[in-house]
Amino acid sequence: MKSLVLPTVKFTEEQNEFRKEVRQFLKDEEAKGSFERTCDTWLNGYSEEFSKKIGAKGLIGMTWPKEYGGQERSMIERYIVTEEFLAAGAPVALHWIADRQSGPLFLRYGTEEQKQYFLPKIAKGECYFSIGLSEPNSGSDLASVSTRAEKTEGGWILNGSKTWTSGAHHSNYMITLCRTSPQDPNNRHAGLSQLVVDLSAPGVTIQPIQYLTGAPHFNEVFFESVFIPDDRVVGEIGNGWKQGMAELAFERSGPERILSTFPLLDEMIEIFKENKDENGLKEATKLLARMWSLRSMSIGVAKMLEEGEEVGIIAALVKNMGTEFEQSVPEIARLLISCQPRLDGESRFERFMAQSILHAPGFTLRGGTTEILNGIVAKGVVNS
Amino acid sequence: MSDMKEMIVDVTNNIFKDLSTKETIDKSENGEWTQSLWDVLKESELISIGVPENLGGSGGDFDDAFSIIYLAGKYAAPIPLSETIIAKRVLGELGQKAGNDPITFSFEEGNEVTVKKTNEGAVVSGKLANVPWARHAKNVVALAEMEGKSFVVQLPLEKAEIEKVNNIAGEPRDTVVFDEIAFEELALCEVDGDAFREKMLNLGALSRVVMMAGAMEMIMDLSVRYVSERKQFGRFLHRFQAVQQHLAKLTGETVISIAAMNNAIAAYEEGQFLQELAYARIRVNEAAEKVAKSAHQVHAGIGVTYEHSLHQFTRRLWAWREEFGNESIWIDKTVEHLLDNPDVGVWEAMTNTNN
Ligand SMILES: Cc1cc2nc3c(=O)[nH]c(=O)nc-3n(C[C@H](O)[C@H](O)[C@H](O)COP(=O)(O)OP(=O)(O)OC[C@H]3O[C@@H](n4cnc5c(N)ncnc54)[C@H](O)[C@@H]3O)c2cc1C
Repeated sequence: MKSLVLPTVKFTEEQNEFRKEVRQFLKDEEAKGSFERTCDTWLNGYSEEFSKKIGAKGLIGMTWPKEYGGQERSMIERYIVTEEFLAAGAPVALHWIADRQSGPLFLRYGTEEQKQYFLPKIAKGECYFSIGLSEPNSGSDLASVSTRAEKTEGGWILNGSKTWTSGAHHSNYMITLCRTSPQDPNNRHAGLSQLVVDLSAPGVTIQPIQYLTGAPHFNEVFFESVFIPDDRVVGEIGNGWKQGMAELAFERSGPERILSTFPLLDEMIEIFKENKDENGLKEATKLLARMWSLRSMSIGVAKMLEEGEEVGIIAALVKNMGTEFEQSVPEIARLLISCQPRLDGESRFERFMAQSILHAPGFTLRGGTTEILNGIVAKGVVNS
Repeated sequence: MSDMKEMIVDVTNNIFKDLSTKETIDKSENGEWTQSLWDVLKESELISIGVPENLGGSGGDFDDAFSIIYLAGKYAAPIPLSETIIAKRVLGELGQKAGNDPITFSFEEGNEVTVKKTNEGAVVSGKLANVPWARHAKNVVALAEMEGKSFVVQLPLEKAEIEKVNNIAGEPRDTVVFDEIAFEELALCEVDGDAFREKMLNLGALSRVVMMAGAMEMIMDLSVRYVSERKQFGRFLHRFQAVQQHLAKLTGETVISIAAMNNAIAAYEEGQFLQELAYARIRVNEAAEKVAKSAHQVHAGIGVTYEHSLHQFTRRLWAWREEFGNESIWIDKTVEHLLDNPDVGVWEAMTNTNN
């Protein structure tokens, strides 16, 4: 690794004021009943009305050029906004993927037409994307995907299926990683491409897969001779692996890898403060120290991304350490405040507890498993 | 990093690489004073970085000072560098000169001397425990009580009785006794005793956070090198999944410690409860356990021999994590602060945006 040192970011007065504005907006919305505070909302909190509302406020696609509906704000300001949404437990899942990675992918690799067509709609909070990577037989070993597209006049014919696709039942599009030429045993990463699949196109079938709670969450998506026009290829044919990996840096290092269970931690601390429970607060302080340190790391990566630096390995570290932290919160909380976790519980604590415990197993899987990411980190440090 | 800082870091790194070697550290742990290293740092004006020039320092800011202290940790430098730099800076702020010899300080709870003004001058009595490097230092900075008031005083150590005590890393942590020792001249600076003690303990804790992060970088380097060189079952160790998991953990703990350290330095401001320092201290101490454990695990047998240098760094982690308050103490301080501010939410506090 080039360096173990991440930049530090000192937020400016204006940035702090901006943070407070966003926070106040969220408080008002919660008070109005626009949403109910929940854990793990970036993959599970769906509200079209809310997504449109924040789109209208200019809080989606914030860093993008104005000509595409963006606000040309900094990555750090976007970081502030995403943090505030997660800390507030607001429903942001619908637009999350499009804002976080599909939009930036178009900006980096898309055609002018794609940028003009997709970005303004995403920024308005009315166009939603899913991630089409995993397949029934390709999970960690992503390069083995077998969904394939064959050239035809004016476009490509897509066949195969994707699975675990979060939110596909709500999304308009999926960026789909597929084979556009046969597997080359000497270069496993060659011959892959990224296509924008319109999920309402003929030949696309979306079959919900219930999450372990029984709630709809992810899906299996089948493609039967789906026609993808040439202008819906992202970047270059054959360059899908490299493009996809660049997306992952955005995907892995954000505050959503730290704060999925923050509403529970916050609620627990409020209870301890009210009861003047010193023992509880001591345990909570250890969690706060971890969270503060992870946040320092994650903000440092955001700064590096803004400066166009290579962050692959550190992003993988943030993801692993952050998700292990989020996962640990309910396990520590349950020993400090005993309760019966209930998804429909009367108290927020019972509900946050149930949400956290039931969602926790996915934290260290989605976006690449801990084991795979640790492998990437280890190889990175040995090779440098 | 500023060009200036980059240069200082480069120069210091090279000095330590040459002069803070396994052998020098061994000798120091066996009681020898590392004069050669001190002399080079003194001549390069690195012992007074972060002390304004008009106060006899070499200039530079706090950040520069801590970048030197980081390297002292990384190379386990067997000299009181963090103590001297911090003492010089604090003395400078009080308008006192400090010379170019090693200085130490002692502000642990209960460590204080009393001073009586007599015809022979100032007569000093008292015991200071756990004083870093006292046997090799010229002066110790401490709190003195005189006629019911608190003062900061720089006491020459030559007349003191010094009982040699070492921490588990073989670094001097001596007991210093002044038994009615008269000094003709003693510069006394009146201060708010409690506030000053807190300030010094904060600086001390920050210095240990920084040195620990430095030591972790070295431990990581040693570990990466070892698993890339040694083979078992016909493969390099780093090819094994289980070893990769250790390496990833080592890297993660090191990176997060350095990030916590840098953010604590950036947030350091005097005279307030230091949330960032507390969090950094607690988290870096947690990392110390994990880093030492994983590093020893991948080094296996060779790493627990005296011959190998790994222990010089892991023992320092285990020693330094206890100094200037371990995590229990910093957790208690944080809890007190949380209870004193019941209306401030943790998120507002962490983002420094209270309404
Ligand atoms: C809540 C949730 C949402 C998701 N959303 C999406 C989505 O929107 N889009 C999408 O494309 N995917 C999504 N995924 C899929 C996710 O990316 C995969 O589950 C993940 O990559 C692992 O693949 P797998 O489930 O096939 O497990 P496998 O790859 O079969 O792994 C099984 C176990 O073996 C371990 N393992 C596998 N290979 C190795 C190796 N080489 N070394 C060491 N250990 C190994 C893994 O770490 C794991 O512990 C989601 C998953 C979850 C849980």
